[in-house]
Amino acid sequence: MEGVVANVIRCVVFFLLQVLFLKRLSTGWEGYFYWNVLFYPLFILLLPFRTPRSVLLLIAFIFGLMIDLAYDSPGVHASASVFLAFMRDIVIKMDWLVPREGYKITASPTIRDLGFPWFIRYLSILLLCHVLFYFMVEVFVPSQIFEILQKSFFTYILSMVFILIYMLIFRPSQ
Amino acid sequence: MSNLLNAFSKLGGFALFLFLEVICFALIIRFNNYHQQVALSSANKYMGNLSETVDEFEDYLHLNEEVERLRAEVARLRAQEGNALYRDIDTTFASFDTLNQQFVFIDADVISKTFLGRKNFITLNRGRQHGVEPHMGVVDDQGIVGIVKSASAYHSRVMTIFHPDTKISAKLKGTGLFGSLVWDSDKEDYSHMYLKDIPTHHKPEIGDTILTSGYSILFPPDILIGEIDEISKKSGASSHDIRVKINNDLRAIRYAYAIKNLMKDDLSELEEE
Repeated sequence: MEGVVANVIRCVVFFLLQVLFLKRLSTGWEGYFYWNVLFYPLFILLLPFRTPRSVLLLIAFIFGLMIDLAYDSPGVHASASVFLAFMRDIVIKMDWLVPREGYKITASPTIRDLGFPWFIRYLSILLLCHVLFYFMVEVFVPSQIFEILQKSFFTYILSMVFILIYMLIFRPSQ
Repeated sequence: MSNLLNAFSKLGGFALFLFLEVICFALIIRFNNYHQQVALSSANKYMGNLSETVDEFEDYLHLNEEVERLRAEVARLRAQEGNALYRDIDTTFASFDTLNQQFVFIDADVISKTFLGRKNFITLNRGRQHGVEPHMGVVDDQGIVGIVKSASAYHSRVMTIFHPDTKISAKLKGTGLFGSLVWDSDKEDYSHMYLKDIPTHHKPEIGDTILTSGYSILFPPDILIGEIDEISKKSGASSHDIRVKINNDLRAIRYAYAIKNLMKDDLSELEEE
């Protein structure tokens, strides 16, 4: 129950942080910008392991739609979030990520539960999935692959930095 | 059983994922102007390509009719060219001249042809019903073909230029020189003919163009025949021996135009007198 409360609060906080603060950061300068800070995927990444897959997908969809409403781009963030949630299930089960003794049933995908090296691997691969998918959908023209990669690269690094700072400062336990 | 359930739930997750992504993309394309435009324009592009391909395929189905139609059109247009017209100058009103139609073209399919021996004929699928009569010239789009020898109601037989009896009145382009073009039936060479009667004091050159002269009632003037590719002279002869490379390849001929000279009777009448 505590976990649910914590996640609901996190949902609201991350949402506000993303749309009130980070959105302005990426659109604050005039003219062309290469990057964006995508912080909200952390919410989906921190959902507990025991979340059923379909629930995870639905949560990601709804959360993505909320972000989209604020970004005025219906469907773009939602599709990336759904993809992230889908990939999360696959990545978690990959051999090189599963700890030697397996996951504890009550564990959360956090630094405190599974350690910094595990979290870094988990975060880097899934955030990459999210960012790439997001920019593919945002640009929407496959032939502009260079633009997709360029935007993804800058956004990926910046988002990574923001998420790691958050994780190291607050060290959430669930 | 548990395996089955397991597989089903896995598949269920994937199905849900696909379902949600479909919704997302529907939203994206429906509500984002930019994405909508991209989607529409690429859809247009691919559907456009598809319908173009289908269209091309359909064109093939109608190709025969289309060729018929175009040939009729060519026949009509060739009849409007300058060399098919008779210029009638009315001397009473000095500045008026009227053009009378002199030649019309009848388009025809070649339905049989033989190029084996000395006497080569082809058969056309047009006959008296269509206006084809014996002693009419026959051309194709690249040169001359021959002379109609006989015509039945729906077919006609054409003596090609590769026949020992054929004699075509031909001229050198740009000069007034003309001679008769004949085929050397002993050589059985289906790409060359010989131009006789060009006197030796004229100096034609290799590569000069040979056209119909228009002095016979068979062909309008200035139809391309070929070009000179060899000039020789027998000692003591008063005319050149000119070998002409024929422009068209009659062995590959598929259709032809018979030429009807509307002033034929007029001219024959003159000759009879």
